[in-house]
Amino acid sequence: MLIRKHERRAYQYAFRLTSNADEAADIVGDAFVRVYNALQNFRGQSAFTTWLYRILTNCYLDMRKREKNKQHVSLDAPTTVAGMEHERQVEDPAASPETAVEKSERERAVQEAVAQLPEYQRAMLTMYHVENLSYEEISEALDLPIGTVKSRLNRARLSLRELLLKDEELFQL
Amino acid sequence: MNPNKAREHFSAYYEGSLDPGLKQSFERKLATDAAIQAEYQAFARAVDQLNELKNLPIETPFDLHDRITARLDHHLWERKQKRAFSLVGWWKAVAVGGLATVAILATIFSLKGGGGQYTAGALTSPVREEVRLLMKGDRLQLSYRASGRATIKIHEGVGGKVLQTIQLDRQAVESPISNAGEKPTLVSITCSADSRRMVVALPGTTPSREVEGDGTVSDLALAAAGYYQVPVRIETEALDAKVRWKLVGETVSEAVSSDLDQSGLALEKRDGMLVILKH
Repeated sequence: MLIRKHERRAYQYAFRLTSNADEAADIVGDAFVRVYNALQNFRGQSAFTTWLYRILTNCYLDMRKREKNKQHVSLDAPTTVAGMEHERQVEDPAASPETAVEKSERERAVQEAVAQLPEYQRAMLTMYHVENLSYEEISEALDLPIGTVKSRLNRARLSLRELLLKDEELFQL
Repeated sequence: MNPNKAREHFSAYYEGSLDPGLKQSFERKLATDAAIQAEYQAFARAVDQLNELKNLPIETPFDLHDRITARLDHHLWERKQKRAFSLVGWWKAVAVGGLATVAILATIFSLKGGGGQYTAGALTSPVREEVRLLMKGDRLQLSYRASGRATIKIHEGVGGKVLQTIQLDRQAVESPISNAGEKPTLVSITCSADSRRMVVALPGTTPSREVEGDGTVSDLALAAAGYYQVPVRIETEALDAKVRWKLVGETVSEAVSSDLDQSGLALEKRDGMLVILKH
């Protein structure tokens, strides 16, 4: 019952951290094992979802520690077909208007930039901007003072801005 | 307001949570510093775009629930397997012969002028006139300063066979105490000049994965030492009192939340090790 209620949200959070479906599913599986082991010690000091976010974040950080050298095949890496190199083509399902393409490019740039941030910053930005957790909830989830959460989030946003500078033309109004 | 200070306020200004005085100061900075203004505008665009991320749909795998329950089932199966291999609790199977693996490398220092100074250069901590056990890195260390004659004995188990005797005459001793054996072991330390007896379980080289069990307080100390891989001191006299336990977490900090089944006992973190004591 508990799993059914929270698995989808847990998965979406884990996916936003990892951008990988298998890793996200593994993180969620590990998280629910930890929930099972620690449930009787959960005394309701925070909302269950806040506690779950904490566990998910820890599972994600633990996974990153273990798999630092994991390699992914880049969609931009050329493939070799019959001795010639072709760039892999991904069909763009979006409609043709220029603004839709530009919007999609901006989203891609932001996602790529977030993926380049240190894991802890990525988790905090995702919690706040995507999962809509408040500063108080993030403070509880990460066991940090609210002031620290605010200053680290500010730093994460500043780091993101730096990474996006090279794609600045996509963000000009 | 300097640029670095201004950057610290970007988020608060964006969210409208800067207090009025600071907001005025910040806006003055924006108006007079074109570079910071440009930075802030880029910052605001980036945050706007961050807020759009939640609108990007994420498809949940159709088999997510099955994968989670399979993971949980596997975890429960692993726990059952471990229990099946230790019907009586492996901590009870510590062989007496294994205690020969306790290593005590006492370094004795001479005291000069009534005990105020030390001649040996390797003394790493101020030594008190009581037997002390403390953690140095990840090793347990015994420290003692004898202002007169004293004899320290380290026993196997609780008051059992003497493993080492250290004779002191206005000298100080520092000694790491470690267990090179696979399984945790219990030692007790007495000093002729100190009426207390110290009992401590030393972790072995192989961590335990058993979180639940029942037995005496000594058994609990051995189980906790094996699981958390830290020394566990017993600070209650009732070493043979019965207790059921369920250890939690994986770190010493989490250990204090372990369930000791209303025994009136508690696990406390102190000086890098765990201590079993009465509430």
